[in-house]
Amino acid sequence: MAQIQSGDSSALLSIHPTAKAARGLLYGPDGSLITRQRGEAGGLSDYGLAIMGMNDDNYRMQRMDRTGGAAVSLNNVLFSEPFEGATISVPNRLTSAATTFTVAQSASLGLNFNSTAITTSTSAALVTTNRRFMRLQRAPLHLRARARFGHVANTLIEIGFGAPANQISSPTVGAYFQCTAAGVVHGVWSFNGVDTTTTPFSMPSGWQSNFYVFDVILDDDDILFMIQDTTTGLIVGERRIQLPSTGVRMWDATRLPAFGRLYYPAAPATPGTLILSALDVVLLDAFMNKPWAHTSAHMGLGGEVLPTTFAQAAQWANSAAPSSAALSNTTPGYTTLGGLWQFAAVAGAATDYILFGFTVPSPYSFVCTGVTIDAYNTGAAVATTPSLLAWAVSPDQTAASLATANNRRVPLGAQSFAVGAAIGARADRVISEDFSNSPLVTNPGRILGLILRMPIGTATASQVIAGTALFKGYFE
Amino acid sequence: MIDQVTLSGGDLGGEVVEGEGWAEGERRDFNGFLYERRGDQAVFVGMAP
Repeated sequence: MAQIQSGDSSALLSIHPTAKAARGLLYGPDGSLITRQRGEAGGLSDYGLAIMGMNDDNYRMQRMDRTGGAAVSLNNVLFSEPFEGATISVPNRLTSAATTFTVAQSASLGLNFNSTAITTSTSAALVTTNRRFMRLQRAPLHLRARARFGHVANTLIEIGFGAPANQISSPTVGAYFQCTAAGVVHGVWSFNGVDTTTTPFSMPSGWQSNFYVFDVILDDDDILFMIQDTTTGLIVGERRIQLPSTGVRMWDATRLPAFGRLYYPAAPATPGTLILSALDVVLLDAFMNKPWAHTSAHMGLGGEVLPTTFAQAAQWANSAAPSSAALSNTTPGYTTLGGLWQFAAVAGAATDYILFGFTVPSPYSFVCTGVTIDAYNTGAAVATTPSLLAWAVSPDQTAASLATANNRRVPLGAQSFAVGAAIGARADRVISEDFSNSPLVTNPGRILGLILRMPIGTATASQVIAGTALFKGYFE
Repeated sequence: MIDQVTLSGGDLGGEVVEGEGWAEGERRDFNGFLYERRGDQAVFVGMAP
């Protein structure tokens, strides 16, 4: 029988002779010491200890790359859909197609694929991200959705990576969760129309009424499916599909969108649904080094579109001139984020006119990285005096009126039309200022103003000064 | 108002005034600011002498 004794010996268990200390050393199955000394030579078959960490009360093994380098899970944000407000981000970030179902979004519930709670057989709805996510070796794609699978018999639900041909078809290539018409929840790997499924998840009681976090992590040669119950933080289930040695690769596509689909192959007795409350895709491990402005633009937050209504941000109606602005110190001529502008020529004055006053839709801020203004003369030639246009931008105004205290005017420069400038003549220069190194931020609900002053000018009959104003930037 | 006219330019730009009886091309004096009617707007043409 082994004994515990002081000092090194041939005993199976040894305690170091230091007073009040019991110490042990770890050895591998081959009898070699696992703890290592700095500078010690390594061997190809050395034993070691795996490293674990904690994520949401779940122990996870640390991931390594092939070189042994720690996979640091840099979350390169590729897509983020918060399903905020009542307007679906169509066609900005998403494309929606439905048969009979009504897909609707609300601030309190997210995106409901069967908002009218119908039970009509063969009803179907498909929502797909417009962005397609590229596959790179050694850079796993990670989709995370918070969703409620409101399953009843005859309700088929899918979320994950894939591009279904239509709302009644499953993808022929992809990696996604599927809840079958019979209520079996499993992971699916589709390649060239052939499906491989995981063993079913054991869903908790009443799962059809609850939201869970669904993770699909697509690596070089495997797909990990995880479902998390955020009430406890614990993982409900974890399933993996390994790429078989006979497999060509994980996807027969270099890029796929994310999608959600609800389908009744037959009429259910009571309404089923799919509710998405968050959908994000990140690229792990790769160092993309993209400026946040680029990332924001990819997520549909560029300055060309409003982030809450998804309408065009600038004033430029199809094949139509804008109405002439009434130049005012207190009331914006236009309330869009730049675009086409024009006004009847006025006499020179030191008055500041707020030509554009754009209210940034809450809860977003607008980060202005540059302003470009072009101008041209129309209606009648410039007469009597030059037309001089001095410009400034005014971010984060608390009210539209330029008489408001604490407005912060940022000069942009001036343009001029000489006397005799013909109809169609452009101003002597284009205003183009770059603020990318020190952006001008306008906070939610505040006003971004474009200020015009005409210190010299003549109100020549029929003369209309027109042009374009571009606010470069993005919403955050 | 029967005939709304919006002033453009000058210190009174943006104000809406009654335009009934205000003929196209006619000038009016608003506290020393002269405006000339052009359609549904009246543009600032200078200060009254």
